[in-house]
Amino acid sequence: MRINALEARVKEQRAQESAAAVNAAANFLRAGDIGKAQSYVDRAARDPERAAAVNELREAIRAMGRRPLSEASAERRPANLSPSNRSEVRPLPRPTSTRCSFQWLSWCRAEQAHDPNGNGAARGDGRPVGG
Amino acid sequence: MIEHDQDQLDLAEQDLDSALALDDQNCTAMGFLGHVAFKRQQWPDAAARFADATECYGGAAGDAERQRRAAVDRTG
Repeated sequence: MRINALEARVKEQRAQESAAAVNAAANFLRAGDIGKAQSYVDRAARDPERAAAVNELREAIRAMGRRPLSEASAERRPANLSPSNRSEVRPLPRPTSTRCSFQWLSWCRAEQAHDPNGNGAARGDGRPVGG
Repeated sequence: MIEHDQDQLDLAEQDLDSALALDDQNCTAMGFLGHVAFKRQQWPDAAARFADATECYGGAAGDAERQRRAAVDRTG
């Protein structure tokens, strides 16, 4: 009985770990830190349940890596960007798909919120798995 | 988490910081602090908070795994 409970706990904590890693990767990517984004994508990739999100993030990383250096560095955000400066925030380049299919990804939800008539997926409760 | 849902981010942050002060391995609080930073569009801070949560959950999973192995060994 105790062993079963511990197995369940391991699975739950690993699922939370990979969900947090996805969110870390997405936000490092938004911050312009491709190296750390890649590191956390790799960590999330240990969990097969994150395969779709991992693929989407890897596409986004590839897309950012292809951009000219000046444009990529302009994507970096100051650490204390105030909400009043939101208009300065530009979305990440889209992966091959125009559909934001992972609404539980925080950056994905943000784009949906600012794109109510766009190509984003229907908005659900939006709470990330790792919350 | 009511404060978080109502976008009262400062209150939520205070609560979450208090939770972490009581238990610096509160992975859930770390993750929610990531959401607070995300809602403020502070991407580097959000990334760091989620990274902390990742490490925290990974450590908790490792602890649980060790306990599971010890329990298996005891049962032979």
